[in-house]
Amino acid sequence: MRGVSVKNVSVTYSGRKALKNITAEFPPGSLSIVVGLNGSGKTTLIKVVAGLVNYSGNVFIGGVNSDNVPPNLRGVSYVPQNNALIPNLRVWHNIAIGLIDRERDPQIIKERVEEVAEVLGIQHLLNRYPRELSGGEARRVAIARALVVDSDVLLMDEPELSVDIQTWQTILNTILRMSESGKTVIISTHNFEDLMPYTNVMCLLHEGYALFSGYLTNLRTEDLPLDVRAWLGTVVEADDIECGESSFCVTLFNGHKIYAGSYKANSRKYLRVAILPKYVVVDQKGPLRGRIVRKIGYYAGRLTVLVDVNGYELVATSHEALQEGSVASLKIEKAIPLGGSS
Amino acid sequence: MNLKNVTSVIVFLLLWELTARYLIPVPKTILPPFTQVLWNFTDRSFLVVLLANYLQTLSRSLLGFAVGLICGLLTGLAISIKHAVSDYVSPIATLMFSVPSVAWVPILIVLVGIDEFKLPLVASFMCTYPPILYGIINSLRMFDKDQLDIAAVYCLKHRTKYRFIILPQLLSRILPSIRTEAVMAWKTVFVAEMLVLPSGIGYLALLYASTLNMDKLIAVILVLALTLVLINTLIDKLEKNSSKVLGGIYEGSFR
Repeated sequence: MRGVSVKNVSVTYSGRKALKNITAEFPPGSLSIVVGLNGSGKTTLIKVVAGLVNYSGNVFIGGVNSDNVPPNLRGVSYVPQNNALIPNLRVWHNIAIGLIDRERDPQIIKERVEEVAEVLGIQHLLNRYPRELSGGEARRVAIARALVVDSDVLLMDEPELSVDIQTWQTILNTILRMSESGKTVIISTHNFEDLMPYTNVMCLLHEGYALFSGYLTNLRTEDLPLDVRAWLGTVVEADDIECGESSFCVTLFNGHKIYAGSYKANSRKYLRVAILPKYVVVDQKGPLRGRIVRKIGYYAGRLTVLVDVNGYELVATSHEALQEGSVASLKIEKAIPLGGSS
Repeated sequence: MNLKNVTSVIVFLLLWELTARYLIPVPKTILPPFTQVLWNFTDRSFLVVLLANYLQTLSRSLLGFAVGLICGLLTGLAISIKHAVSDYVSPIATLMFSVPSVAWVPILIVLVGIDEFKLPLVASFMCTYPPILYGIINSLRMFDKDQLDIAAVYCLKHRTKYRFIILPQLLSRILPSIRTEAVMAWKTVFVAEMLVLPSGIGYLALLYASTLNMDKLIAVILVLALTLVLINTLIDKLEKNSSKVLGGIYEGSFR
């Protein structure tokens, strides 16, 4: 198992700083997410680790300084945002491309390709050309290409892009399987909601800066700027956890039971949950009554309010005009359990 | 070629035949009917002359084109290894590419001289090399950066990177240029032969024009046109199947 360390990394594209002095630790065998809005530097950070962009600072892979190591010798697999399948090669050969120079025995190449194709459910696509694939199929092929190499570090740039729910579930299961097998998985994503329950480490990027980097257990959202909390939400401690057969709920704010998803993992470790603004609505009939509105702002065209709830400042979406200091009631539809056991 | 294409050609030839025979009152020596032109191909002595000159034009344009293509590809590949060179080569390639192919002929007559071998060869080379080089430089600029990243991460050897990723895509991108320049090479050699050379079908065309042998002249032009159609069709087929053809060549080698 090899971890990844990024120390004081900065990247400049044509005079514009895409990453500004980023330091982040992705421990061996961890499942890490890099989150942030578009243009925050997520893709650039992934490319820095892969060695695909020029940077200042240091990158350590498996404890070894890899600044002068070319991408093909860093021992990383990489899934780019747009798949980048080679158009003149069939799916079979697109998947096998990373093995040509690494494996001499054609039988082993064949077995490896068919093995990962089966994992991702793309055996029936092996003889097709990339142009004959749908977006979701192409995504799975790009992931298969990364898995076949069996690197210690797997880098994925927004794997959720242009895939349907079913394909995303297959991809998510594959990611979890890779993580369980001891690989260090680093994913740049907008879909942190689905990944947070399984993630150990998060790197939160905002305008090229890392606002947070570390174990999710250490994430404190109250220190973050409101425009970040407007999409990331608020992390709160759960009072209690109630497990059902296929789902579980958390009890928050003195007895409010809130649905928290259906995760197969041992739910006991989810003592902290994230309350995403899209799941918190200002609703006069909501169960959390008489709460004071602390702050108001417009983010992504939505009225976002910061409401005081039992000492936590919850970020909520409002469909009605509110003023700072007014009293509102809230309805929380869902809580997202946080992984992050160190 | 589908039924509609064949029909339109037949209609055109029929119109030509009828117009020349019955509709326009000009002597058949000025506007010969199609069948009269076709009749020339049964004349053994004409066929021998035509074939000898045709083979000369063909070999001249093919040789010049092949040398231009190979040189263009090699220079392009060298540039792909050292990208910085492209900044120096690109303006020259653009400038030379902008010169119409036939415009090289008068310059080359002065520079190379009226040499039956060198003049058409260099003319054909000059209308192939700059456009191919220009095409490669532009293709490299437009190359999918993510695919180069994939090559950088997954290919351990430069050979693999070029063989499986860069070269096939480069070829599929410059195939349209190859098609255009193959036709242009043929046309330029024809013009050179017409202007100064004592052999080739360009020379033959001018000879028949000056002796008012219109049916033979049109027969020569027909052969020229059919050759151009053939070149176009061949490269068109290659272009349409380029990814399969190129992919197939490479796939077979490691599956």
